[in-house]
Amino acid sequence: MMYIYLFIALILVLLLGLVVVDFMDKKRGLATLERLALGFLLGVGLLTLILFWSSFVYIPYRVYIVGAIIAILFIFRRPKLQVNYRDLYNKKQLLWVLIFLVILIKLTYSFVETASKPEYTWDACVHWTYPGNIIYQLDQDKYSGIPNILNKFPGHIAHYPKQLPYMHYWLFSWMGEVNDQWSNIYLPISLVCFLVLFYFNLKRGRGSLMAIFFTWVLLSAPMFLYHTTFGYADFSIGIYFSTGIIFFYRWVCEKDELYFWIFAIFIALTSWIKFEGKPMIVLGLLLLLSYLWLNKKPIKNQLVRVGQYLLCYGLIGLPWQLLLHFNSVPSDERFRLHLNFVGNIHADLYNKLFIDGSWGATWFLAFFVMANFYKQFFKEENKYLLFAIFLFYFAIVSVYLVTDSYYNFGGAAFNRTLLIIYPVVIFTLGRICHFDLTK
Amino acid sequence: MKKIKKQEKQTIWIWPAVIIAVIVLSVGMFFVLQKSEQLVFSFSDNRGMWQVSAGTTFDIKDNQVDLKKQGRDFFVVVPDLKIDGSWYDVCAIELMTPMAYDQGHLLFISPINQSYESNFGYDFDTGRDDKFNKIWINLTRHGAWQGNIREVLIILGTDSNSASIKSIRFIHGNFFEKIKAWWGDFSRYYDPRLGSCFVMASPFFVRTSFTLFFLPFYWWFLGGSIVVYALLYFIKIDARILKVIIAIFILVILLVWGLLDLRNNVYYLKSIGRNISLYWGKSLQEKRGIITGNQEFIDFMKFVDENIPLRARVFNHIAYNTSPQGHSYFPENQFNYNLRPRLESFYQFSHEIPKRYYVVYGQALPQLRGTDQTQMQVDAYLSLKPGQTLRQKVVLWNELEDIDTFHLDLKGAGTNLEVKILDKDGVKIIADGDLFHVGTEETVFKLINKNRYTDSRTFVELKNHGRAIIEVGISAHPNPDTGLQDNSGSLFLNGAKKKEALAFRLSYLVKNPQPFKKFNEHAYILMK
Repeated sequence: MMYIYLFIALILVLLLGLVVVDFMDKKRGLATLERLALGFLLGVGLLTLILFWSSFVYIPYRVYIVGAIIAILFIFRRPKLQVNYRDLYNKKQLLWVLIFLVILIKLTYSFVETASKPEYTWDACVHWTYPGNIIYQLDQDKYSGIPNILNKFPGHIAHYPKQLPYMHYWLFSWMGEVNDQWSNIYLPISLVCFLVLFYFNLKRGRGSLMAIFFTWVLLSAPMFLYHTTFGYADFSIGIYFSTGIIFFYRWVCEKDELYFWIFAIFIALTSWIKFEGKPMIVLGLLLLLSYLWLNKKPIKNQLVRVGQYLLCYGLIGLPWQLLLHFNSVPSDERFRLHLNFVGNIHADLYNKLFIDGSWGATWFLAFFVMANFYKQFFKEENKYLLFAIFLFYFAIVSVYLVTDSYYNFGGAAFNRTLLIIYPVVIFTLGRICHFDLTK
Repeated sequence: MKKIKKQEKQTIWIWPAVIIAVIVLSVGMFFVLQKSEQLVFSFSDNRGMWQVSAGTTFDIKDNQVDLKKQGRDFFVVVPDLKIDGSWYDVCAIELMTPMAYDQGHLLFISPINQSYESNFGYDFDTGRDDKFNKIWINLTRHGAWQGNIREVLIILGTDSNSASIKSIRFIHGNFFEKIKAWWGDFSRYYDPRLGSCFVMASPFFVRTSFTLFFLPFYWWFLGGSIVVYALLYFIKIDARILKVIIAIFILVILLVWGLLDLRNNVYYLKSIGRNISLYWGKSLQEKRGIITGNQEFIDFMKFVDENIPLRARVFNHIAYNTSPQGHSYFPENQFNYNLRPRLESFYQFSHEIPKRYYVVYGQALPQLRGTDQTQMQVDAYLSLKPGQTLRQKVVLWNELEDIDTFHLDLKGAGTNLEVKILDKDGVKIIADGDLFHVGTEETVFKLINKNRYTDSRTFVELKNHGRAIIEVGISAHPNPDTGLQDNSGSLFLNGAKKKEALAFRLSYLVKNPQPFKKFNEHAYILMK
């Protein structure tokens, strides 16, 4: 019975996202599989925000009421979905099938590994799954004002955003127990959704074979795949940020409003996942400003775009920050210069990328391709991917130089932080790695 | 005509392909048919020449030995082996475990080591479950495997409670057997470790052989391609040369990585088998025990959760050295994680002190000493001039008789500082502080002359009755990790409110705790 309820809980997440995607995608620019994938990822973000807002008051049968509303919305909206296998690939290619099979092995591993074990990893037990358990227990005890109590728990860093805990709460509530083995299952599902988006966006212009090939490259880093199997937030923030950047690229290429909104919403959602989301919001803003400036858009248009972007942050990320402010929840982010760390940070970065990080060949490939295809980088829309990667690099180094993060934690979290930009780097490789040996 | 042409094209390729295939097969057969020499030690035929770990029971039937784990250890030792380690380079163990891909070890005693040590041995995975697997081990990969190997010890599995063993063979291997041993090592499965979420240990070869081999090669190529770019810029040569070079290099990276990724996929497939065999069909409680490596602790925490009421204050006295996962994994991580939240443990909802429960694990009758409140993150110092008084609101978490010491960060003479704890009215003295110890980081006052109190809201008062200024450590940013009550905005200097909080620590030592529930000799709950 628990599995049926878990299934219903996950389907409701998808339905909520689908309704929103259907509302946004009036021109039907997205393939059906893309809609489903975006629907799930968006559903997780929006649902957790709804649960967060509603948890200020005690509502009996909260999750069932929310579920019923989602179901009614879905029935009312009835998004059209037509799956066409030609969306996936258009020619009969043996190599495509072989690579797909290898990807399938990796995905099976991700699902089985996640669904076999209860949570055991350090930060997940303290910062991500544990608050989900607390929300669930407080809700069972009919508490009001749960978000205000959430800041009081020991060991748990109070200012961390709460998308992951609220998602666990949602699944615990439907399952009727604190089952931290099955509540992580939405992570491999999110991985599949992200891979679909990654593949479809790369397929445009590069073909299905190249797209599936770079999807394999993305998954071939054990570091990335392993992080889909337990409840740390780094994988989640990585796929939301990367989806945002990928759709920014698509917006720049195709100029469709829908893609801009997907970019703005997904970047805003990063600040609801992890506190590293705050520099990612700034990064997204700088990327947007660079596009508006380089394309000499009228000042009114520029202001409207920036306003729209900030509106998304205002609705999604800002409420949590305001709650922290009004509850006087202290943050451990403190301005303190550590300029002497420049050398250490770069030595550590080198060590993590190439020696100690279990990234496989992906960073080797990334640096080599970037150095040798530098001309492609500056071509038209590709330069925004370059900006995103360099802004990320500057953001990380700056944060380490002007706060105590690196001083306190050394390189412990460095590899995990790189998960945020990793999919964007592989996507960029997919876009710029062109060979025409005849010229 | 077209058909004939097509047939001609095909015949052109057939002969070279046949010749290459014949050469490859011949070379392959040559290596496979090379002679190998082996020493077979059958466990069923050599009863009396091997021993098992204390408590392990065994049963010999047909040509196999079935072993059952009873105590902590689970191994078989061959004490009088005496073989030439320099000659035998491959080992094959015929073994069966009920858990797939369990972690086994082969330890040895050679002229270099005099006793069994964990770093003088080989790790292996036991293969698929419930069938005899031949485990191939490449003996040459350990430098100490040389000379007279006197003894070997086989640890049969980490999670399996039973195993069957047939034989152990020491082989002077041919090419084919060496390949099998190499593959056995290369594709070995091992469970992900806790720390691996930081640097991800698996798969190990990525961090060692591949990277170390590839890295210098890689930088030479990257540098080389930049040099060729420069040449292209200055000398107008054909850009296609560079493109071909780059294409070849990318192909090399992908080919090497593609092959290594195949190994990753073997690891993933083994992991799927391992998870199904080890976890599926077990309760969540059992799985939690397996994954944390201490079922007793997990069962004890369930016992604690079921017995301590939800409206209670719980104090954590889990010993730090009980976790196989790392020093602080159980007390700092799994303690709260395995309990439903007791809000009174984290937040003072009422002003009465609730019932207190002290959870003890891993030690017999310890002193119940701990930290009541921590706010020792000193950001600045506040100057307490002669005659000035400083007051900080403090909510006490234990009865006063159990509060032992009060810790401050001071610059200046602590002897001239008068420390008092006042009742919520700020007048009645409920305890005095007596200077106890002056350390480099902390000045400690012992609390004496304690009176009873019923309301946990109190004040700590510091008064400078000396002639010099005393600098008192304060915290502008209360530690976000403590989760304890926020004391900021409740510091007063001569009656004037300050934004910061006093940096302090209160420690407790519980007097006369009462037994509440006992799980076993080193796992129990006390109460007060």
